[in-house]
Amino acid sequence: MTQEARLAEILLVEDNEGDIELTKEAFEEAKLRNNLHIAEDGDEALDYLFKRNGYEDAVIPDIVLLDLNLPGTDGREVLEAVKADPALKRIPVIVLTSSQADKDIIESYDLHANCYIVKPVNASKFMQVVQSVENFWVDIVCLPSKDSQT
Amino acid sequence: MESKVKSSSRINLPIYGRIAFFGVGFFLVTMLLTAFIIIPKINQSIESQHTRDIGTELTLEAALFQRFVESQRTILEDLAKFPSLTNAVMLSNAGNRAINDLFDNVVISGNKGRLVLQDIAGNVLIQTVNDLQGSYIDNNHWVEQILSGSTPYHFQLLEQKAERFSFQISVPVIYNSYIEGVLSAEISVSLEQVFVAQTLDNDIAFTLIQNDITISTGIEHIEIVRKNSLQLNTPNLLFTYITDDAPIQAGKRVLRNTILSVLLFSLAISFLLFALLGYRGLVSGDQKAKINPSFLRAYALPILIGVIGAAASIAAYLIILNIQQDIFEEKLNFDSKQRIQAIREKVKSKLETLDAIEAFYHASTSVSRQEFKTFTATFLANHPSIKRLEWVPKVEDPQRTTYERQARRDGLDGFTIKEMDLTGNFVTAQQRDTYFPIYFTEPLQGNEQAIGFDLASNKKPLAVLKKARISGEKMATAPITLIQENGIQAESLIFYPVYDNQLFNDPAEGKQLLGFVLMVMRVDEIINETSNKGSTLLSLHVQDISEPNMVEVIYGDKHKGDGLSRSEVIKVAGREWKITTYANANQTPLIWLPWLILTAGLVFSGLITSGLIHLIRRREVVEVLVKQRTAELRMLSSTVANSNDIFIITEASELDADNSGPKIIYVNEAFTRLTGYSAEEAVGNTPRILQGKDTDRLELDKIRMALQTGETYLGELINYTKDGTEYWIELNISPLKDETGKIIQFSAVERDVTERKRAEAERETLIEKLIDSNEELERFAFVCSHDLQEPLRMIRSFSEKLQVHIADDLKDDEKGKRYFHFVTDGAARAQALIADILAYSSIDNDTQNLENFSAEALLQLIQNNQLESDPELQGEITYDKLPELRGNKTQLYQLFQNLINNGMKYHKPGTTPHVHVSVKDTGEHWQFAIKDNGIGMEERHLNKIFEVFQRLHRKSQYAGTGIGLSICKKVVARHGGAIWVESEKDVGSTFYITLLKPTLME
Repeated sequence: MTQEARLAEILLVEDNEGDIELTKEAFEEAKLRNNLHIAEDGDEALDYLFKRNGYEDAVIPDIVLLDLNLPGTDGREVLEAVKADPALKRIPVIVLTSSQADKDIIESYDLHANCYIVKPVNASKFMQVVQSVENFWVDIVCLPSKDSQT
Repeated sequence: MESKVKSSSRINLPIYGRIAFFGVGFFLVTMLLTAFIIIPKINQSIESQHTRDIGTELTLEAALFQRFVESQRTILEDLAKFPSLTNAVMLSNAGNRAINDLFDNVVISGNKGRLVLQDIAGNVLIQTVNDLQGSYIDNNHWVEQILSGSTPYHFQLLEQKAERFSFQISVPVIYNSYIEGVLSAEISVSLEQVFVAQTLDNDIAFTLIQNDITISTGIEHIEIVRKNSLQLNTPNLLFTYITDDAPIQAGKRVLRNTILSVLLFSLAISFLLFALLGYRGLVSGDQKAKINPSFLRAYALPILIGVIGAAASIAAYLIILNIQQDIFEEKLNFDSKQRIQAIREKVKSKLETLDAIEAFYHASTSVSRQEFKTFTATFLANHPSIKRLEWVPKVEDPQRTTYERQARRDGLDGFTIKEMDLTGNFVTAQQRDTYFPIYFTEPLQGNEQAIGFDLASNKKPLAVLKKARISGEKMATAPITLIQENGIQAESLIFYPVYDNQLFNDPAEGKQLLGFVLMVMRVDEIINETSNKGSTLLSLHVQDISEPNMVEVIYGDKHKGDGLSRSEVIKVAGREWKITTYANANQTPLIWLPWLILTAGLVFSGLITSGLIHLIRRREVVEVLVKQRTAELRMLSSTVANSNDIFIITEASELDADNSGPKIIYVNEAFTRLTGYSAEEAVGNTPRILQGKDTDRLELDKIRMALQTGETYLGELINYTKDGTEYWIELNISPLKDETGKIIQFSAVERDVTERKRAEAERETLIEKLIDSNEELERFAFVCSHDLQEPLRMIRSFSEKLQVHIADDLKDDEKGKRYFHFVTDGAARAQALIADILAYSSIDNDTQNLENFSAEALLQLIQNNQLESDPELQGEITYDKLPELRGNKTQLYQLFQNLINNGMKYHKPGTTPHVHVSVKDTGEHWQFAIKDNGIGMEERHLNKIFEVFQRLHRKSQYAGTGIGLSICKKVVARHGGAIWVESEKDVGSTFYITLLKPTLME
């Protein structure tokens, strides 16, 4: 009941301005009700998730879209930190990256990524993928209630 | 089979050991039993048997004696019943012819009867001989006893004459049951007639003592006197049976010594046996029998040997002590006999002086004082122990004055025949029938007092004179002893009767006594004269034992202590001297010899024991060592045999003899596995069979050189298997030397390195390929990047043109503007990336362009260019004194510029960037430090920064492609150095680079 009453909280961790733009537009186009939060590098994402360095009031996201190649602390480190935290590990983390390397895919799943998606090269396809991700993870999948996330 | 036989012989050893244990135990027990129980027991039983025998003998001989006396009494009683005899008694008339005939014909014990018949008043009616020894008158007590009937007979020993035994036996003469008189007989028989003849050998003697009369048989022969006495009632006397203990003691000693000798011999034999056994057991080195024995078992044998040795030594000590004691005793006995014999002879020779003087008297009718003096002078001169020689004439009272006058004429003024009054002063002798004055005395000087003294006035000499007169023998007085400082001085006075010339051969008739020759001799001097006879071992003690109740010491001290002594009795002019010899206190058997033997025996056993213990110890040590070595050897040999490396051992001798090469004497299994040659094929052959056409001849020469100089060779070589397959070996040859350092063998360890060689070859090919492909890739990247710039330029140019072209349409279209921005920005970034890739890939390995230049000049250049470049990168650059460098100047310029630019770029907002370059010498390298005061980095990011396209910051914060430090790393690597960074967030970073010094730079 409560789930329908509120907006889905989505954290996008992405350093590429273009990709951020495309993702935003994809969500707008799908007219899905959500709050999109953006972290432009790994450190910011961790600050957001662990509510520190100015993010003390941040809303815990329902899902995280994570790019792997980030300046400084990269996506793998973020993924490892999230999945090692007892409170955060339930949050689905969707790796969304331009790398097609097997090494990255295997490493991500080993670090308990919930899903690995290669960014499509053309824009319409990219938006389609983002929309289907949201559709699947926000509408179809049952996620643990916020109350249980302490 | 062989080992079985061996092991069975080994099993026997413990049995030997057990036998040894039992044997030694047995011997020890036997020893102890013998020493403490058996020998004393045997001695005791011999002793008691001897005592029993003596007791039996004693009673037997006593009974024989009694029976003999009884038979003589019976003969006499029968004689007393003759009517002629009773008649004569009753009538007190001896004139009867019949009785005289009877008495003349009586023979008792083979001799004419010496008979005495007395009547009831005690008067002697008839006596068949004149020289009766017994006393029949003078109110004899025994006569009264017989006449009163209170005793059935009377037995009285008479003085002994030579080896004959005389006694008087008296019985009553009875008529009609009334005692009318006494019949006596004096019987003299030889000892054999009384005692059993065979007992009268040298070992046995008898003494019979009745009142003051003693009769004895040859007691002088007896060495160790042992007396057993029996007091007889009929006749009333002390019967003593004397045996010589010497033979029995000697027998005991012989028995003891025999037993001890047998024991010693057995002990010695077993000692040698066990010593031998122990030695053999140890030397044969039987390991199996000796595995981990307990201490006692391991050392039982030497301990046993030690104990046996000690026991044998003690036994030897005891036996030798005994033997020595025996020898010593024998010597003592011999010396004693010799000495006593000498004394006997000496005394005899003194007494012969008397014979000479007596003969002198016989030869002349009268002897004047002067003649006597002249005659005796020689004797006195020759025999200092003869103190005086005197003439004691028999002077009848009527002749007294004649003698006194004659003496005065001879010059003895005031000579009178004297006697001694009660106060001990000489006075003129009272008148009596016969005088025996000392008439001549030589030497006169010093003896004037005694001259004229009438010996008949004194009881003691008178008794001796009487005895001498009756027996006609030389008779001595009891010795007169004086105790002086240097011992006892004893004088003996010896009288020798001189009879009238015609009658001297029959002293029994006792007719005409002229007088006595008197000799005074010093006993101690006589004995001292013999002191050169026999050894000085002996001390003497002489007693006069003639009167049992008045034994007098006449020479020497009594033997104190319980040492060995020996006694003999000699007869001296009717007296008996008991001479006892004993060993001087300081004379003992050779005491050191048994002790020496004991010590030597103990030392010897000790040595053998400790030697054996030492052997056992050493063997234990050796065993342990052997075990260790064996284990080591087994380990080594199994290592060698099972090793995957090849082991070859060759002889060293025939190295350069006939060019046939060293002979193989050992190869392991790995050899056969690799080469295909079996061990049999290889041994005796030379390692040259393994060489072939591709074997490096130079390497073989090196091996030969190494072998000849005795050095170790290490190298690689191609060898061939039996079927001709080529393989590589890594070869290590080392000489094996003997103790003297001479090389006797060579050992070669070979490892099949064919695989490694192949791998090495493969790796080299691979590296070559890799280099080729890398170069290709770099070329490709270069070409690629170069060619990519073309389409990118198109995108950028035309998107800009398009933006101008549709500028009006986009006036209000923010989204459109943003889209255009993404396009142009993306294209610009792609261009920058490509430029960096080009720069990165163009850092080649070119060594052609190396040049020397000053680092300071380089920094100066960077500083100058800095002013003209990006205003964002402005800051302060400082540096210390910097060294010369050698390398690719362009690349090194890029290196320093990148690092300095980084320091400038990542500055803290609002601060002036400052970069300082310093340098340090680390030996081979110059180590530069480029230190900034920038934002610094977190520790966890430090390892990332040198990787391609790795960035720590957002493009919006600090621009860049993330390739600068990768280029630095590559340049440093090309110049033989390294790069790293130390950093602290918000403080600054220091980049370190090392560069080879110019001299080391190729």
